[in-house]
Amino acid sequence: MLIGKYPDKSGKFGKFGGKFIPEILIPAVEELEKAYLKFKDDPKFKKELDYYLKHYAGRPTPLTYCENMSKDLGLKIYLKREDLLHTGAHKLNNTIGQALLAKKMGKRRIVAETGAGQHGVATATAAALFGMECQIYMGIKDYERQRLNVFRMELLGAKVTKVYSGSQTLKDAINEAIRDWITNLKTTHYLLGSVLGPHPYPMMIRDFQSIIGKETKEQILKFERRLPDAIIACVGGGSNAIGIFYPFLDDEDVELIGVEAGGKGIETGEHAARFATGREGVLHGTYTYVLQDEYGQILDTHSIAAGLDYPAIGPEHALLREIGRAKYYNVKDEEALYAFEYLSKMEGIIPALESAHAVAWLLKNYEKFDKNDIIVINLSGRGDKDVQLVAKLKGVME
Amino acid sequence: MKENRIDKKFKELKENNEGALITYFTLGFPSIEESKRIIEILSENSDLIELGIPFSDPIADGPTIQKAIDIALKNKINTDMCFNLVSELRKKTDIPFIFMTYYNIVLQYGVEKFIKRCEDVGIDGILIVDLPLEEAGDVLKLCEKHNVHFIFLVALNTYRERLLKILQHAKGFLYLIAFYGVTGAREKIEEETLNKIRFIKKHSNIPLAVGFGVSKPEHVVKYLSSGADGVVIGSKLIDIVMKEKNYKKRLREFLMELKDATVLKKVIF
Repeated sequence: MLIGKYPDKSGKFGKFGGKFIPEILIPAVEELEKAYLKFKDDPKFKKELDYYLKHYAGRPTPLTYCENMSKDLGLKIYLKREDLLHTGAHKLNNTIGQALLAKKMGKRRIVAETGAGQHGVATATAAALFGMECQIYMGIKDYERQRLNVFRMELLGAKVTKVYSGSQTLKDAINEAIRDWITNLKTTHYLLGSVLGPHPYPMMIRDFQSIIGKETKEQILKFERRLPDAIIACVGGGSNAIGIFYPFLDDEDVELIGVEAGGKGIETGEHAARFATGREGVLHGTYTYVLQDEYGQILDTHSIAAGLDYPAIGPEHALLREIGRAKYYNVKDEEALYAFEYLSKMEGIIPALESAHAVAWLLKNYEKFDKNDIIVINLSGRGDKDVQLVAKLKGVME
Repeated sequence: MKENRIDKKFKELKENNEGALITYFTLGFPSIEESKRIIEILSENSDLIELGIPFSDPIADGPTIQKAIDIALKNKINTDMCFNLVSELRKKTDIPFIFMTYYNIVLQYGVEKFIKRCEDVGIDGILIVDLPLEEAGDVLKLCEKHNVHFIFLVALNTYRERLLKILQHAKGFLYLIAFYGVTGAREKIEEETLNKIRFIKKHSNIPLAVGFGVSKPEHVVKYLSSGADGVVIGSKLIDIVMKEKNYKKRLREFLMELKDATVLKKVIF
């Protein structure tokens, strides 16, 4: 049995995970863990969370059978439609959960990082919903690339601050969010966006996201009266993947496949495939696979999908890979771009470039499945945010 | 086992009724050679030195030290070069050296190899910012084996029970973070910090150093008169090197003022 086994009391997933943080944060994560363990089984909290997920966020999201793609590949392909969740991606499952918890803890201020802006928008949304102050940090490079999302966050009442240090991207925004948290511990909750960071974050965020897998299980049983043969999800930090994987961990016949960003190709060094060339190490409070140089300096990463562009992977994924329960592959930018257009034309669904990685993996590997195998792809987000970028790449727009 | 230089230094200072002036500097900033020369100046004008091994993602450091680290990494400093710098400095000074860094640097070098090499080159203590007590088990054992002190940090929010547990493991000195926040020079002092100093000194005899935010002699006097045994100054020194043209002269003057403040302890008591 894997469900419920990890993490252990010290926050470890086997040898991965843990709490590698400055002393000043220890009382804060202990307070958070205590509050989370208290509220997660509290019927009133659960009822409240369910209410917001259903009537505000739009859960359950549909499981869509893809007629055309299924015919094309000779498989039975379903998409779990997190793209239809409010704000356009799975991120809101976590931000509503954490913001509600923070409110119960008496915090009145939320701080978070964002790369492309999806988590920032989802955080600003939850903060607006619960009437909390919201501070978002964003690397200057991302800030310049994603001006529209910056405006979106500001519309939602958040303050967005540019980060100029280090590589000026997501990891540096996390550094700055942690520094803010250290400085304002008493009033502030750090709303981390993926299954990363010190315990209890990887566990808590997995739990908030595992509603994706729970619904998928019920829905596929209704459609097919059996479980799928495989589930495919893209993996940045890994929250959408662990969210859909987790309720299936003990269903051994369901193959679990995570897809990392292969960027411009592993051999170019410009990618974010931690399992391809990363080594075990510590970043942002957790022990996991990290892209780093021989001395442990964290490397810059590249992916066309900003949500996959991060040098470490969630510690539970490192465990699932080590014990062989999930398999991890990577696909390149160009393959994701092809899948982006393929799904748009084939099914009338424009996927986020992140989710397009999962689609791309199947387009490359569909022949390894038997005819009429049932495959579920977690469509973690919608592609509206990427339309401009793709138009530019295709030379349609300046 | 040879007496650790940190213990010896605190004993000496106590006998002379002086507080410890502990300086921090980032290795490789502003250049690799220049950082060595600056540390030579620090060794003549302070009691212990923390040498920062740069890490690309220093979450506990404020803008000043972040900038120094960015520059040091652009200068291509690495862990082996840091050890070599210490070897060279050791030929000239017997001042206690403490490495300050983040865990991934130690982990990637190889934990045992790192600690053994500390012993070999004459590093007397290590301070790993993101390695709290619950994750430090193996490192503590290896430090013990190689006579390198593992220096614990405690914060204002380190609650009583936890503080007492840390005190059981503390070696060399205990480092109290004076603020809720990251490293960086500050103007004022919090009453909460002074209370924490008094509480710690009531429960332990281990030397207590206060760091984060220390930037002038008044801070030194205030902390020492509340019972602390030393102060750590870092960001302000980096600031001087960044902003002052004749920074070597200014560093000497400034450190002398601070050192005077630690000797003042004699007058107060």
